[in-house]
Amino acid sequence: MDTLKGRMKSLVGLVFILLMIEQVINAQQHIHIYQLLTIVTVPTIFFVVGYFIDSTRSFSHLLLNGIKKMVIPYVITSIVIMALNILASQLSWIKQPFSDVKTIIKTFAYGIGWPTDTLFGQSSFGVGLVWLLLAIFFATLIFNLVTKLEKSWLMVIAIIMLTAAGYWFRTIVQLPWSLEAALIAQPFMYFGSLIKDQQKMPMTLATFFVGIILWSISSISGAFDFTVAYNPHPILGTIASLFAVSVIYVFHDRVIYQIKPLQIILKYLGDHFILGLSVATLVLLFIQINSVMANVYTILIVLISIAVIVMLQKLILLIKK
Amino acid sequence: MNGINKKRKTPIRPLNYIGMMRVTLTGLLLAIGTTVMLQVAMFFQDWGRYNQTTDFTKALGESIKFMLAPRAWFSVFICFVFFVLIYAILNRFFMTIAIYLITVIVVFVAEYMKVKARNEPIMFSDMSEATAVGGLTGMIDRQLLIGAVSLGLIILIIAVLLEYLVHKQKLGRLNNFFSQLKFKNKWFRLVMLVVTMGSLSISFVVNADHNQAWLQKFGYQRVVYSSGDDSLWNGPIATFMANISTVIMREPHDYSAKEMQRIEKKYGNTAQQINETRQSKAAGQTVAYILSESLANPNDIKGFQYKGDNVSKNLEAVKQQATVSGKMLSSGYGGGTANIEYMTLAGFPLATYAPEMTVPYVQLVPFAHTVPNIAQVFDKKEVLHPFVGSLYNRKEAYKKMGINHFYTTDNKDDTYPKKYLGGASENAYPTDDNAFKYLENKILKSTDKKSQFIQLMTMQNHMPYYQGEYPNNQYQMTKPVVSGNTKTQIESYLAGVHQSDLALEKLIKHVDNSKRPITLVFYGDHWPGIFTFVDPQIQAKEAHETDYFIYQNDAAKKREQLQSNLKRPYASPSDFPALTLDAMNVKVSPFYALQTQVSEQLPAFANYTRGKFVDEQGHTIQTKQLTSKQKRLLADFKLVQYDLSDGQHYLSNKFTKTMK
Repeated sequence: MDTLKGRMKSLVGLVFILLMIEQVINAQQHIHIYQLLTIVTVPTIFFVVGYFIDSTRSFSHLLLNGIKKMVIPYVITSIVIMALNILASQLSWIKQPFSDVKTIIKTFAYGIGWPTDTLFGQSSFGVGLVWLLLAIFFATLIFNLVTKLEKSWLMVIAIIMLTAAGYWFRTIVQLPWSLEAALIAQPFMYFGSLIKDQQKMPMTLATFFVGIILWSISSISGAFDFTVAYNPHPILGTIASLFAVSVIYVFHDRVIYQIKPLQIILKYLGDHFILGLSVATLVLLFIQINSVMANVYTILIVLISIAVIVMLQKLILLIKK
Repeated sequence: MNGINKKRKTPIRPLNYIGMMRVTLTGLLLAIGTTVMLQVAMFFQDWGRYNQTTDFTKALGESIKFMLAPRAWFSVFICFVFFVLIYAILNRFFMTIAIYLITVIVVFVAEYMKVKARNEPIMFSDMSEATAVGGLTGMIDRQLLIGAVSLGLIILIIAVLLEYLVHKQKLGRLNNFFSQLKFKNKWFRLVMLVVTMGSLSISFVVNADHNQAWLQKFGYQRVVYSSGDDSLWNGPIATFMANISTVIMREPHDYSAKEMQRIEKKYGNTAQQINETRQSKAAGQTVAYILSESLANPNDIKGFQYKGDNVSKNLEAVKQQATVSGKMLSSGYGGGTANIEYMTLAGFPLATYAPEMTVPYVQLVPFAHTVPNIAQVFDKKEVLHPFVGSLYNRKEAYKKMGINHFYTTDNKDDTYPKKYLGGASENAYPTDDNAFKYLENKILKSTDKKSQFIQLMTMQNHMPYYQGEYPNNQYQMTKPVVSGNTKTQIESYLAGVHQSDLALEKLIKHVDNSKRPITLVFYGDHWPGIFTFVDPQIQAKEAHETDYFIYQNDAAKKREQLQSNLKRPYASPSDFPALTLDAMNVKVSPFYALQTQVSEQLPAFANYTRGKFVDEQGHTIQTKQLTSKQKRLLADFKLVQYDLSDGQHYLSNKFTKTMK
């Protein structure tokens, strides 16, 4: 039986593919597509995270669970990157994105997606897509604390203030561990948690078209750069993004999810989202393809790598049994 | 389920979500449509600026292309917020749409016509002209006006009908649909009211720099040199909002009490030196400023030829005999009369104010500490205008400037006499011949020893220009080839200029015969906006040159006791006070001493642009090309201008005290 949970996982799978496209296209040449995608990809991820959060769990449970599911994969990814970076100096067919191991340690210890202004000065490197793991980790903890507030209106105010704080900090400096992204993710997580209560998206035709219009307007105004908590219009941009998330949700639900083969693939990707992020980070950092179809090949490599790693995991489990 | 609201005792009360979304969608679509429509009003024009075109399809295409720019969405935001504001007030869906659409129609017509006339959008300063509806509607294309009014009425009737049917539940299955389109939660409605009013009022309450910052968040990029181009680039709504709060003048970097003291002392000494050779007094003299509306010299237009007598024959002859004459560098093209008028009275050029300060009578004069102007040198100060007096906030501005009487058609206390209001044909504006008769009447009545200042602003040659305006019009335009409509307008204009020229000849004769010393300061304020084959941006200097002269009768020349050898082939309107006082050989205050030095030593301010001047040979030069002495003088001038307009008023009253 289809459950909302299954649909959400499939939605994550869809967003993962959109995120890949966003990463591989030339942002300058395809600025409208790029900006269109940024409005919706990462916000939808946090929307789904908000759906899956179990608010009745204790803070310590979430902390341990988060460390297991987010922080450890993050650390493992950084170790793999270190190893590959060393290997890259010996092999010509992979890039060497970092100058040395010390830089990798510094970069991954700080944990932000792009080179930017940090507490310790300008950084030259970012951690790539795995910034999302840290952002999800901290966002979940923050959201859990917010949900402890008894009154709904207090919770809403707290979310607004945290979001504002995220945008404000960004104007001064990039905090470590993608904290600002975690702060501005709160409205999307709240949205996801509301859907869990309602068990459906309150969607009408008018809402759908409002979402399309606001999504378009927002994308014309500029990119929603979640990595560094930048939006040309924080208030209007957040509202537009919320609507865009509902549009993509409905589109996925009514169209994409109805196609069985797609449903299976997307659920699979959704189930292995964290692995996908790590693999994508490695592929984007180290693989360089000189071809007209480079973007398509990159995405294919990511997808195939995920499948291979999952199969290897299952194989190992079988052998152990 | 582990939803966050399961344990809550006080969940948020649900709003009428479905209804609100439908209203939001309606508002967004209307806002987008409005923005496109207003942009069409900007592009569907004859001026040829930045893809303006008379092809409607192309204009629509340009407008749609405009929507791909981030700055377009500020206009959508404002329109949407305005829609929501009306809705929050009325809480009636169809009436909201009706009022919104009627507002849009009015704005569209106003924007289209203003751009058509002057290639400028509606500015905040134009709102003071909203009370002059009677005068303004005369300038609107009648067909457009009728169409707009009819459409507005139809919309209103349909809306009222629909509201009635909804109220009586007579729409069958749609009853439920429309009954949802209301605010059901009064607190939410109140919040929307506050938020929308707050959003719309941002530009009205913050200062100019914050207003710019707010607009720049939406991608607004000010086009400093032209509000018309600004509206093409940013949309007329953004241009309007950007010019609500304005900086009068940016503070000069060395502005201080000490510096102003130095200037006061310096020009006090200069005034003493000048006054050693100034012997005349203003008592018993008359100065008449004649602002000849839209008077350009067609003979100066390159490539333009016409059949008929020389339209400016007498004007050119008078200039030869005048004390000083030449070309005035106007700030306006197709309009801006009051701004030029301000410069001729106050002696400050628009070019040195902030770019946002475009209408001094509205944005500066009401708020300035003091507005020293040439009229204050005289005992009696009057202004004559054969039209309504409410445009450009003149009534209030004149009070501040010390004008005793302002004769207009709508002034109950000082009514412009009907016998001088006759036009060349039934609906035409009062002729210059009649206007000059009234002026002469005023001068002749002044037989005492009091000094007299009169300003006459004519109307005869004000747009529109149409077939039959001048019966038996012999003028024909031969070159270049233009559209039939443009040709008709130009030929009518030529006839008007010729009539003005004949009237001027008569006026000069009467002035010459008068025993009272009379000094006439005559100038055309700006070109009419009908010579569409002249690009006012590319041919900026030519398109902003009009004729001026300062003419004195024998009685005035005898009074001045000294042969004047004034020369100013190119003058800014702001030169006129100093030139007039020089021609009259009247003693000056330190303020006018400074202005005298500016008119003698600096080239003329090119008020149609910034940072440029025109020298005696007609060459355009930039500020950096001035000599260091000229730069110092310019700096002193700007300091005084700032102190008197927007600064701390360090200069004492002695600096501007009139010498009567």
